This record gives sequence, C-alpha cells and structure tokens, in this order.
Amino acid sequence: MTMFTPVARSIADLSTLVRRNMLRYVRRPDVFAILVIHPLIILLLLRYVLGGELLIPDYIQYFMPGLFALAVVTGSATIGIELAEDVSSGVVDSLRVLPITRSAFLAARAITDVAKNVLIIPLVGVLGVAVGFHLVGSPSRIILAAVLLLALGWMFAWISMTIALWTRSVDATQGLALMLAVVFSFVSSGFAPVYTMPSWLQPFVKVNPVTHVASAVRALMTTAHGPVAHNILSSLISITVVLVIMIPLAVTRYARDLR
Amino acid sequence: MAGIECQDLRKAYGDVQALDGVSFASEAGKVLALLGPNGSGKTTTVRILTTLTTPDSGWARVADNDVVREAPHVREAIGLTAQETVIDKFLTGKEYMGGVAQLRHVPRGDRARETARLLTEFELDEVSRARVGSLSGGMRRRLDLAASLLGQPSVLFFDEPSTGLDPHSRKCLWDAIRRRADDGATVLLTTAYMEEADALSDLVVVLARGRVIATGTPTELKDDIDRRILALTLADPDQARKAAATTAALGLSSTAGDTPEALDVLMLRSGPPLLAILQRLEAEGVRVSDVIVRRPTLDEAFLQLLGQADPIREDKPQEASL
Repeated sequence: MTMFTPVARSIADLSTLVRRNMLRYVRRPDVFAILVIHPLIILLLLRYVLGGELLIPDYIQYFMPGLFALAVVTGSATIGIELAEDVSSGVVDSLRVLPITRSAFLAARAITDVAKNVLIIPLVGVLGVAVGFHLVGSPSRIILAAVLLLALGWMFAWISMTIALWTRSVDATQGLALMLAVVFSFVSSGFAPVYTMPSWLQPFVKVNPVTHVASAVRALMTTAHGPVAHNILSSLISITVVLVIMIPLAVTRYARDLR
Repeated sequence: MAGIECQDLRKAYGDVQALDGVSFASEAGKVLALLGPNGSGKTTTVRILTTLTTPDSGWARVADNDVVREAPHVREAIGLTAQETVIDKFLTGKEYMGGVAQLRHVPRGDRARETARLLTEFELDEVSRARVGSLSGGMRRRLDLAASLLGQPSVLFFDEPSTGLDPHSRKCLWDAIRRRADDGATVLLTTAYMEEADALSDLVVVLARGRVIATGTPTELKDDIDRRILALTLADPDQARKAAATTAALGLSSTAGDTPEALDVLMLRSGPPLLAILQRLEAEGVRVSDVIVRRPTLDEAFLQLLGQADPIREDKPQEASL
C-alpha cells in the first residue's frame, strides 16, 4: 500500500468512482436517452408547434442557446437525483467507511456531470442543425460556448447535489431539482428577450446565470464576430457566486451523519 | 493491540436516547457479539465505531485510533458489512469487487488474487460475471460480505450479518468470521439471536434500550441467567390453576404450559428447593401427574435478561442484579 502517493491515490479513487457512475449510463442507455429526448421534444415544440417566427424572426437562432442551457441543466438535475438514491439506499455510507477522501465522492459526481454534458451538448447541437439551426461562429467560438455550458451544468450539479444532501429524499430532490431546472431555464433570456417579460420578473431574469450563459452562447454560436467578452464575464461571475454558496453547503452536509 | 474500546457512549436522535452510556472493550483475535433486540442501540454503536456518526459524549478507539479525531486512520483499518445490502445492480460481481479493492487501496498486483480468493470462499465463483441485479438476495449478501473483507482489515464489523442467509450460507459466513479472528482480526458482530452469539463469539455484550445490561463469555452469561424450569402436568385445568396459586404463595412465578393441564414454574436459585415445592403442592392437595425439570432455552434466558432490563420493573437500583 505504501507504493501509492496520496495524490496518485486520490486520482485513482476519483477515476474508480467516475467509472462506476458512467457505467450506470452505459448499462442503462435508456436513462441517458431520456436526457436527450427531453430537449428534443422541446426543440420540436418550439420549432414546429409554437412557430415562434411570428414573434421573433428566425426564432430557432434565438432559442437554441436556451435549449442547450435547458439540456445541461436538466441533465445536471439528475446528478442530484442519483445522489439522493445513493444516500437513501446506503451506498454513501458504504463509501464513507472506506479510506478515501470524503469529498472524492461528491467530486466524482460533479466530474460525471461534466462527462455526461460533453456527450449531451453535441447531440443537442446535431438535432438543432437537423431542423434548421445555423452555426455561424468559428470552431473556437463554438468550443468556448460549449465550455460555458459545461460550467453552467457544473453549477447546477452542485445545486441539485445540495438539495439531495439536505433533503436526503429521492422524491423531494426529483421534484425540487427538476422544478428549479425548469424555472432557471425558462425564466431567463434563453427563450424570449428580457424586455418582453413583466417588470417584476425582470430582476430575477437579469441575475439568473442561464440568462448570461444563453446570451454568451448566442453571441458565440450565431454571430461570427459579435462582442462576447461582457457576456462571458457576467456568466462566469454569476456561476461563481452560486458555486461559492453551494459547494460549502453540500460539503459540510456530506461530512455529517446522513442517516 | 488492534482492538475496540469504547467508554460511556451516548447518542440521541431527537427525543430518542439511542445510546445511554455504552462501554465495552475487545481485542485482536476475539469475536465480540453485541446482542440485543431491535432498537437496543446495536446499529448506532456500530455507526459510531465505524466513523459514520459521532457520539454526543463518551469516546471510542478502534485499531488504536480515536473514532472522531483520527477517523481517517480508523477507516484504513476497518471493514463493515452494513445491515442492508447495497451493491450497484448494474455492475457484475467481479467489477464491484474490483472497484472496492481499488478504493480499499489493495495493491494492484494483489487485487485479482484477493478478489478470486474471496469469491471462492463465499462460493460466488460461478456468478462473479453476472450483473448484481440478477443475483438472489442471499448471493448479494455474500458478495457484500466478501467485499467488506477486501484489503484484510484488522477490525471487522458485521451488522446482523446472517439476515437473509439460508442455513448453509450462514454456516459459510460463521466459518469465515471465525477464520478472520483466528488470523488475528478483531471482530464485532451484532445479532438479535443468542444462538448466533453463542456459536461465534468469545465475548457477549447484551444491549437493551441503549444500555449494556450484561457482559461475559457465552458460558458465563448462560450460567448467570441459568435457572431451572419446573414443568408440571396436573390432573386437570382446575388443578393447574390451584398449582399456580400455591407456587405463587411460595414467591415463584409461573406461566401456562403447552396444554391447559400444564404449568411452567420458574425456579429461583435463592428460592425454595424442588422437594419443598412438591411437598407444598401435595400438602395443598394438588394432584401432580408428571414432573420434568428443564433448563430454559437460550432464547428464554435472553428474554429473561431483557425482562430484567425493562424499565417498568426497574424500580430497584439499575444493574444491581448483574
């Protein structure tokens, strides 16, 4: 055992835990498929049923950034649901008696979230292009947009994990995390411009990280040279603020008895 | 000495005092059984000793480390089989064992050998490639037990390990536990059955309502609570009632037997001897048709111990009789 350095050990622990999380999706592809089918349905609704072109010309160019955000945020909500399952079934306890860093388990969950969204973002992009979305930005702009979306997902993963750890209930996490996913996604500039919303709603929309990320992604994906620095900066600030609150809340609760 | 030692552990969950001053100690090579009914504090004790929760007061040391201040060191030394079997259903038995072996930091070169050895020991060779979700409850339980032994922990905890096992699997588990102790591990198991404590343990700690009500070797405990039961068969149910009244007058308690004519009288070591009881019955004109004197079963003895711990009857100074 002495052949392991602490750092190498932690990395090995993390990779074992991430592999375990990812195997769940490999063995249960239906669970993963739902995460893509959900945004697909919204995509088809917005593109063909609601026909938003009446309100905004070329609506698909407007709402695709919102749809990307919706896809990563709902995908990340399931991270909390899976954590709640592990807490209530006792898996977390069985890991907590092992000689691994306590935060490794939460970190592994958050890494799994990024890995999952790395798969989901291009899939949603392909679906969007298939129904008429035009990618105008250069490859580097598109990659930057994807990175912002991953950061948004990472943020929401910590929100849903915090909910899971404090409620310790699968049902409560499912209800609350998915509700928040819908609220954050739709009460943002992702699907409609802020100025079209009632004035009492606008303050929330303006602080919502999804608004900033959607605006940045829109500029990056649908314009070749549009200014993006301001939107990227505000995205990163709003995401950081949420993480600074959520990570300590999750970690301190995880360190205590979860029974 | 890589053992277990705890002193005056107390733990409350809301209004429920789960542990109310629990102390005991065990050492390497010994099996200690925590014996008690549901809700007596067995699992809470195990959760404190395995660092899953912290006591409100009192202290505990496992493998020479404090379970609160030196919890990471404790985790290096322990293996736990929890009461509920939790294994990811989507993994195969071998994948699960491999993952736990890595997390327990078994050297890479030893993992395959150790996994194979444990799968064989728990008779899981044939099912190691099957998904856990397709295994029977007993097989999952054995896989869980096998995984808790990876890395050869020096202190082993089994919380109600034979729950859900058939007699053969239970025997297989008991042998495995004994072997670990013979190899020098400290073992703590919890059970609600005196029989299991008797078969496996070197030391029994009896818990009731969060307190230790008795401690000793299985033999000591049995001797300590060893009473004789005078099983009477009377001529008819009326005579049985009369016999109950007569023995009650002698200060002896009795319970109805298997038939209306039968009566089980609990004899006390400090009470009247057998001959005196029979003479009194004869003097009262009770017609006794058969007499058997037997020892209580282990479970009767256990229930009797618990009865003494029942707070309803605890008007005398607590633990005085033990």
